[in-house]
Amino acid sequence: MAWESRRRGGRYYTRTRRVDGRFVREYVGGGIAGELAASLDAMDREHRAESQRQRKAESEALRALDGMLAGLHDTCDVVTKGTLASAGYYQHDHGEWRRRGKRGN
Amino acid sequence: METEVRPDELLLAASEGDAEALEELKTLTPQMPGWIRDAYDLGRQTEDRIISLIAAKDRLSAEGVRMQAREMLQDLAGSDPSPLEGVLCRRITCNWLHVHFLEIEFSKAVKAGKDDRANMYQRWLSSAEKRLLQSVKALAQTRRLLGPNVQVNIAEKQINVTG
Repeated sequence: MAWESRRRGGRYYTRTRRVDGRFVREYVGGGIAGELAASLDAMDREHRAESQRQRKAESEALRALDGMLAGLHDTCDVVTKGTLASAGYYQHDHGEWRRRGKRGN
Repeated sequence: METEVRPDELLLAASEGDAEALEELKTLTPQMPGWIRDAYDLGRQTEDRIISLIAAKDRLSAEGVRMQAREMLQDLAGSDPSPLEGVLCRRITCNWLHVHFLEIEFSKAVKAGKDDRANMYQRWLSSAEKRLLQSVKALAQTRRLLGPNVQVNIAEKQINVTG
């Protein structure tokens, strides 16, 4: 979005869009029409930027929460394994828990 | 005396049948209550965090969810849980809260027609459901090995763990 200055004086508001890989400039208008279109575009940009900020904050909150849950998960696994091993069990091939034999195996 | 060291490798070796590691682990057993307490505190913090996220958008439903989580914790833990059971039950309620929160946000995004947000929540939801299932299985397995046989029901799904 930009204002173009004309040689004969005055300014003209334009929008540039990408259509099929090519940049196309749309001439919106000067004067009040141009000012209005520029204001609407600025509001639209601000709205998009705000949505993007919200999405980023939301994503960060979800990541932080996931980190807490992963920490809880790992800590619980550690205490569970420790308790089971102390109670005489061992994990066979990272899977099933089996009771240890009398000779420590 | 309790230390901050978490000998994960020692635990892993002991749980895989290493006799020496097991003997060493037994000397550290007095530290176990400290680790369990840490896990319990972490569980409470996580639960508070999830409920505050729900409350930020809907204070009333956050209170309802808090009560539901409390009831679930009592149902799972029973009247006299061991410290380890208490922690594992707390982990289940945290995971359930997480899934519940993500489901609410996912359905809101779908209703609003926001596909990118819906996809984001869908991804988080898949991993949260997997974690919930793992935590339920861990509780059932621990009870089977260390206590009486149990059947655990979460969200109307029966989880059985067989040896």
